[in-house]
Amino acid sequence: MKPGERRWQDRYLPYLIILPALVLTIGILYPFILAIVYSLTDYRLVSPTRHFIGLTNYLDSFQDINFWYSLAVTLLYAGLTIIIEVPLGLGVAMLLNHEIRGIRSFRFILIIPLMMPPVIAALMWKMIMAENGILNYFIGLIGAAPVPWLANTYSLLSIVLIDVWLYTPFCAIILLAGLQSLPKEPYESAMVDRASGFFIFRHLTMPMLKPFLILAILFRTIDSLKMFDLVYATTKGSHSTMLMQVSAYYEAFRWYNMGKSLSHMIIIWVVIFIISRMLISWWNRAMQRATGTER
Amino acid sequence: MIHLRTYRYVIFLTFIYFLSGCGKKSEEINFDPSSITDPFRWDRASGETIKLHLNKHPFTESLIPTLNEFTELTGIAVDYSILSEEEYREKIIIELSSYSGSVDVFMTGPFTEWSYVRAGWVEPLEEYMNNPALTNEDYDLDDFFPVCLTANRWNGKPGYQNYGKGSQWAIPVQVETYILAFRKDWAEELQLSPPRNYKEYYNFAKAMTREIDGRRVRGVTARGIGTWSTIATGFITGFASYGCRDFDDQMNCTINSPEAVEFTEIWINTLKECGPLAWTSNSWYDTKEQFESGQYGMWLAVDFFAVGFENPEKSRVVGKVGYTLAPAGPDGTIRSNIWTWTLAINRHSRKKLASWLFIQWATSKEQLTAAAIKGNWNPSRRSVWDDPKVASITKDWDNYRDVVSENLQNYARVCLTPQSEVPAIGDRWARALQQIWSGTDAQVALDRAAADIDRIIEKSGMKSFTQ
Repeated sequence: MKPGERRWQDRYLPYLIILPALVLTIGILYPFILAIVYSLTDYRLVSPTRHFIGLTNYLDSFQDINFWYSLAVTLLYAGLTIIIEVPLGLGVAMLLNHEIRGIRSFRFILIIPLMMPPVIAALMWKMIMAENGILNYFIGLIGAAPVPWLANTYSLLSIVLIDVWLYTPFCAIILLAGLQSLPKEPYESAMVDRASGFFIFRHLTMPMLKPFLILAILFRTIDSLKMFDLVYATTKGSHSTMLMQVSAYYEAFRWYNMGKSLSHMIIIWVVIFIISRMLISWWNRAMQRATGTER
Repeated sequence: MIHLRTYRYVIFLTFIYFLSGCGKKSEEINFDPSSITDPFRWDRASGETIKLHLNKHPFTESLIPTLNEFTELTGIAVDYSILSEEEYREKIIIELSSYSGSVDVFMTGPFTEWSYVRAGWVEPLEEYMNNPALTNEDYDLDDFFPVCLTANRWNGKPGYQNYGKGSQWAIPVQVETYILAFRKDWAEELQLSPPRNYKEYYNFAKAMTREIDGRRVRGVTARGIGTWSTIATGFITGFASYGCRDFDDQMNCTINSPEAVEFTEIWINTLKECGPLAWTSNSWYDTKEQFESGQYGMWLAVDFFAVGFENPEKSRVVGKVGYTLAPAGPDGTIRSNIWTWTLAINRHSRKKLASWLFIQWATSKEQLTAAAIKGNWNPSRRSVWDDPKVASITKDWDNYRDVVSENLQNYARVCLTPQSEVPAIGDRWARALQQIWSGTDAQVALDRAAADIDRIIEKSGMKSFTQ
């Protein structure tokens, strides 16, 4: 071997080592790239040919009132779930952050909804919210008329309610973990200074917990914008619950417009990407502030 | 050290490789049924294996245990997959659109078939049916109710004038029509006759909506989810009886015509005032449960749901249900839509001969009689319908048998216009009904839906087909 010449093992070993990562990357990116490619075509499931049509599917969507309606309903759904779940999760986490007798049982009960597949939860709630379901039974006990929970007028709010039941524990667990990881010293100092509970919450807990709050918001935003199963299992996507994912499903598998459906998916992906980037940079700043490494 | 550029090239080339493989289709296998002329034999395709794609249905449940009999008779092995209806409809589209012949025989029906025919996925069957070398002389095609065969015939051109013309695309294994099921005990109590027109339909529902022993009962139920099944069942039956059509002969959408708006208003007002509280989430299953639980007065329903109404293990209305024809329109016309589950051959199958032998066996008198006895309702063959064992099943179901016979004989036909976009159009139409139910003016909602439907037809190329 000449000086400076590397053995073949040395040359190719790194490629071999990254091979699993490469395969994984391809596995992740292949469907995504394919979706982008197909969204630029007139691909219909019932047509044997497909042609490149540029941005026509996107432009069609932007001119379609039903698309904007779906996008608005999706954003409303995501907004409502986050506005309710994160504060509620924080409240539950704070209650569970006390070492009192039996608290472990409560923590276990908290995660029961999380163990349930969303479709099962949706079907269970569909029965609860039925005309003669238990919810209307309790409403009847106070003399009120039964509520059409899953009818058009109320259906979005009802599904938000199911989402809250299912995913508030997720927020609570993240925030409970956050609360338990907070340093004790600032609290001890505040107690010595006889600071009020509200003062401690506002000026100590909230700033230190902020990265965890943003994390909970981030996960719930991504999940809510992708919501499909709860809606499909309860209303099949009635007019007022036609979220983007449901409309994309209809577009592809019921109306055969695969190209247009994929353009909807790419648009919702862009929305999620932009919101996530904003939340992640917010999270970075919050982390730097919380750890004192802010520049 | 790995060069980033090399890494990028590897990823790029791999993508190109995968992408270039996409959409590769298998060669269509051209089998000419008329090329076979020697006498009929069941073992003509012995040694082959066919793949069935089936929907979970009483027909399927009666078929599966007998598949070994088919294999013994023909030497053809059968591989199958069964999925629930919704999953099935998705999966079959994926399979057929792969043009790979991965499925040989599949279940379908008139409206979905129209999309598949236009896509070139279905093998026409007349050359198999009419060739004595391929069809057993005992098969007796004339034994099928004519309306069941007609419903699965189409020449591929849009427009109602093309209904029942052209090729036979599939063979029916059952048939369902739409009749009015009503609580005869309530009707007797209120001294009401079953409604004969849509004014009486509304009044009947109104009278039946009341308190019984402190419990609120309602006059009418129906499907309400925002999909084409809401349109293609009771609603279209009433719509067609009322003299309305979904398209004119030039394929202009007419769901917003004056008479269509009038009928839609009656239909929705009846549901709003006398129907389920959460009508827009009412699937067929919810509706059936509601009626069987004894909370509703009537339902313009799939006829064979009587199997559930009259089942003492599940139903609270056994023996309390009367059956009658759908109410008539203003000029006395009665129409009933129909649906038939059918068996069809994938045009890209490489085993078309074996597939036809299978369909022929599975839709024979013997097989369909056995299937009907096991709950595959209603029979698509007259001889099965008249079979004493089959007839005895319905003997206690009030006048069910007479009503269904009369409906099949005189009033049942596909009420939707043949075209390839039924799911998209039906879903859009159903959403308009939901909007009206939620308070939008009927004319406004139907005008918007008609405009969207015209766009769907225009984009699909169906419009130019008629010109």
